[in-house]
Amino acid sequence: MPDGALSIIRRAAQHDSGLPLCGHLDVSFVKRGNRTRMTVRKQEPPWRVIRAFDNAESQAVLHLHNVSGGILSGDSLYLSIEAGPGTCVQITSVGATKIHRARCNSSPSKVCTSIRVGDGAMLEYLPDATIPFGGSRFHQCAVVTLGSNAGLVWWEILSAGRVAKGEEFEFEVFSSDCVIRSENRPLALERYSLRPRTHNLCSVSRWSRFRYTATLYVCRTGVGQKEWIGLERHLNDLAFSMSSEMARWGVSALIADGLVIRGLALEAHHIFMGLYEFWAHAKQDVWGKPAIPPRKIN
Amino acid sequence: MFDPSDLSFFQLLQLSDSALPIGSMAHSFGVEALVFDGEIEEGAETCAISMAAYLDDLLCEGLLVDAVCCREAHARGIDRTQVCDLNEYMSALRLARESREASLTMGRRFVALAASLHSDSALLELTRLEELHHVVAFGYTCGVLTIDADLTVGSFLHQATLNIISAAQRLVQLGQSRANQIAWNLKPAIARTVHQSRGFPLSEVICFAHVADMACMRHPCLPTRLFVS
Repeated sequence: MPDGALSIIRRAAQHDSGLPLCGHLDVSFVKRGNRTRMTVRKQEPPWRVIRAFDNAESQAVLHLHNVSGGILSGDSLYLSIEAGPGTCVQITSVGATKIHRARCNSSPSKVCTSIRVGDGAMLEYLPDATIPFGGSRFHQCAVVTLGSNAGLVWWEILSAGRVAKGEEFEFEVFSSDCVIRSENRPLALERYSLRPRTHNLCSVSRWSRFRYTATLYVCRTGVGQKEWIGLERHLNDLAFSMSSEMARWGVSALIADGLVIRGLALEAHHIFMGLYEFWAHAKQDVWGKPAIPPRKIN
Repeated sequence: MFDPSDLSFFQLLQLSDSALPIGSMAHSFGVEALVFDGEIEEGAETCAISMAAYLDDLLCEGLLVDAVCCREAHARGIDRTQVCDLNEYMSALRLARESREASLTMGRRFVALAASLHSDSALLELTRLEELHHVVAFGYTCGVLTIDADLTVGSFLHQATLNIISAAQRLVQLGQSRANQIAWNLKPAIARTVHQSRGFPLSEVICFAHVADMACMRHPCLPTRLFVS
């Protein structure tokens, strides 16, 4: 049996025994002819990728698998993605990211993501929702760096917990530290820590009566601020038409090179419907191309 | 012991007066959209409770970030070192365009006024920055004037909360007495935020205010608007 396979089995056994994992996934994409090709530089459990396939827009579509079925207590997972110059990449997950209850005295589980979008490349990162279970402790960090004329569509969906089960804001801590930057400056920065036991997350300024929150970034370096403000106006009209008792949306141009769309909803399906709508409009406007929803294995 | 010959106290009173002509009265700091969205109640009985809770939240989130940034800018003012990175940081952190632009406009007006009142090469240098947030301009100027750091941060938070209350008075049924009661009751929360901002590096400060942020994002498209942001 090859060493790599043995290593995977050993690590899987380690996870089965309840010991935390430290797993890396490092993938890169290069342009060959008109196609984008993927290379897996490093792959450790629980991460698993099979292959990237082309969609109708010639994007290399990659599904991220977590074979352990979620993030377990104490896990430290690292994800590195490099979209080389001129590549077109779409990355998604195969299901919601479930963050399981932490063991006593264990350190928070964490996922650190590093993404580099090269000159003239375009990357869409469209995962399913993140669900922090009751008693979980979790920290995520992400650094996205954009080259010149580089594009990014990135969304994140966070639920208050297993809402359908009536488990809301029962996690211990969910913290996040994310930055998107161009070669010149930081474009967007979000750093927060949610601690429902010490802070009222249902307060006016935080979640209010909503149970799902989503953030969508649409960035393309080199596009002028005037264009972004025009798109902000257009998408904010859409945001108002889509807002209701069940969901609320808002759009704003970033300091440069992009805009942010934020959504709050009572139910998950309102978030997904909204995100697809905004993504489709923004992609058509900024790139003149259709948004192709990722094919899901489930 | 207060020394009346030390002018810094009087200078701080003037610079932190909410009536300083830098345009702060034209901004609602998100309150107008929160009222539109029904998050801040409009009724005479309920709006005071709603506003007090909102301000208390702000002092734990967005205004804590401001407090830490103000303290850092104050230290730079004393050292007379550059603040470009602070402004870039604040611009990236303030996702809502209107609020960001409001902060930048007030920052430029504040430092122009401060430089005209107090002749100092560091302040003159600051007027040349295109990207200058109000909180950075305020902290830096007070640093140049060697005003105490805690007083600087506390004054900034105090005038910020008074501006928000003043905006609310024009938007909901919040009368003078209740408005003053809210401002009075917030003093311990302001003091707590000043305390929290000590020794807190800006790179570690956290803020979660998705509903409030979204209100600022939605403000440009409200059907009727009293305020610029």
